[in-house]
Amino acid sequence: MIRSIDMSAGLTELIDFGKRVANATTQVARSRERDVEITQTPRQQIHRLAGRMLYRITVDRPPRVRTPVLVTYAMVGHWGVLDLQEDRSFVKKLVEAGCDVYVLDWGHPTRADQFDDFGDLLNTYMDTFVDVICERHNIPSINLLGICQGGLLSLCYAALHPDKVKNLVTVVTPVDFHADQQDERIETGFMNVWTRGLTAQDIDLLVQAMGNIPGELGGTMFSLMTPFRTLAKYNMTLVEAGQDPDAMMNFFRMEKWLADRPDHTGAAAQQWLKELYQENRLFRGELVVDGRLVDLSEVDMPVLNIYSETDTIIHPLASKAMRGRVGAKDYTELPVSGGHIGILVARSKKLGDSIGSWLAQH
Amino acid sequence: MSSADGPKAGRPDDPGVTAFGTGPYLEQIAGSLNAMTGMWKAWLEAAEALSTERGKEVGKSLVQLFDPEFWRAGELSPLLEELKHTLSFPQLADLPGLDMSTIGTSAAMVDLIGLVQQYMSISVPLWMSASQRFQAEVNARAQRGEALKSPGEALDLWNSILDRTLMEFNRSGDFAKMQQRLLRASAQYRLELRRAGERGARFFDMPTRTEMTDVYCRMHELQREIQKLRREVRTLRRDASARRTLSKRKRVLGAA
Repeated sequence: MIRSIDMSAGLTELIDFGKRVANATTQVARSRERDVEITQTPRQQIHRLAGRMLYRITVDRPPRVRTPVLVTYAMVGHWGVLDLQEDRSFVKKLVEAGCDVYVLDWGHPTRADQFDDFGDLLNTYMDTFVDVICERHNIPSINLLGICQGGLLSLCYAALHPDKVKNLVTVVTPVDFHADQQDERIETGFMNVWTRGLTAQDIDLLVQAMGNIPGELGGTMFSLMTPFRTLAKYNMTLVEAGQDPDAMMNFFRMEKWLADRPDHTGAAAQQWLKELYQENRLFRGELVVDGRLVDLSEVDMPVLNIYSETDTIIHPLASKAMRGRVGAKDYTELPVSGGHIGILVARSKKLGDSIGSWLAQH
Repeated sequence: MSSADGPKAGRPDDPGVTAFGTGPYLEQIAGSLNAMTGMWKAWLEAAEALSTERGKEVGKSLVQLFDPEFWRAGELSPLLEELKHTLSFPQLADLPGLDMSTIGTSAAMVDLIGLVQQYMSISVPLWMSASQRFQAEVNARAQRGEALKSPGEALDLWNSILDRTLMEFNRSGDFAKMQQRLLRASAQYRLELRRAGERGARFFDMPTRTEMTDVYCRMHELQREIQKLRREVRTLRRDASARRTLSKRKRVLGAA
């Protein structure tokens, strides 16, 4: 029973909570949408192809890694999370670690992009951008760094174009989409469970009706993973953040990024959900892109595979499944602590430094 | 019936005419009755065909509406689609067709509303389950001598238990089934709305979604073709540049 609770302590706590709510309200009242800015690290647009952009981060730092790095984030979220704010910018930390950083921006696909499949993402956009970087630096190959779905795309690209990839770094990247079944945890792999609960026809029907998979659907999926905590952030977390203007602005920046969920092109989403989440074709060595088998044994360049044991979106086993599947003799696994997004927006420079050091050595 | 077309009126000098002249009249009446019987028979056949081909099917469908199990399953669209099919007639070239398109849109909408209600009905017990778990946990802690000290601690525990209960439900077969039906109903509703919108678009001579999708598909094919050509040009340029460099080296070496 709750009889043990001291009611006078409860009243004090309630009064304190009321004061904190008032403070947070003041902070909210002082905040304006235009003040909430992300992707503030200086960058230059190098190339644009049908709504997809190639940027170069133009922070002046002495390069330690000679070969440029192309960073590819997932299509299901905007790359802005990699440059959330000055002290929480993954791309800036990579530059500070001595890398020449390029970023692939998938943009905001429209209905006109609905037929873009993995073949287009890999052999049209990524390949063009890789060629552009190679030509700019007069080199035959570059370093690829892919995160989450972007990691999977970078891995597939490396398998299809191994001669153009010097080193491959994957961060929280799924390879075995059924690995969650080996180690079922309530807080991990909700997307895998949800997608397997549908039929291939359901996914086709969804794409037929929507053209692209709306970003909001992805947002709903992530909310369903931790349903109450998602809602609680607008009372408990917001009140806590509201005690400090900087913390409040951090909260709003993350919200801005979360609210900006690009649609996923329909044809690629069909492959992503059916051929990977449902059928696990990449892991089984059966994924075909543009008529070519994606053979992971072709990934013979050095590979650094970074994963998190506490990742709730990509099960660590799904990432670790890369070991033994790729043809690389130089394969390194790096476990990091933090959540799927947390590791990218952390203040710590550890992740950027680890990547920079590994690339400098290869 | 004109006299020219009907049974011939008897004349007194006609050998077939009886003295009272009633035969032809009876024959006429009998003929008419026969004709009328034929007509009724034809109508009966039509009624039977309508009843067999349409009424029975419609009746069967409508009976389902009174079955609670049908509403529990919660999919009105297939039933109304069946009804639409049952009531449909072949299109006549110069007559407007019987427009039953709104049936689809309405059914899809009713399905969606029904599913939301069903979702509510299965989610309410979750809150009861969370409350029971919370009570059990509070009791267990009290027995271990770890009683909750403040309302804040109690709130944290409640949030955590509720979140876990909802997470478990979201991973359950019931939720997956509900999600699947919700997704299907939403997609179906959207497709029905598109059909309705496209009829309006055609009326106002505006492009339809189907036409736009076709344009995007062609554009995508063209874009792929252009990229393929660009890649070939890049390769040719690289090869040409390599050849030029090689021949330049050869010339320099030859001159040396």
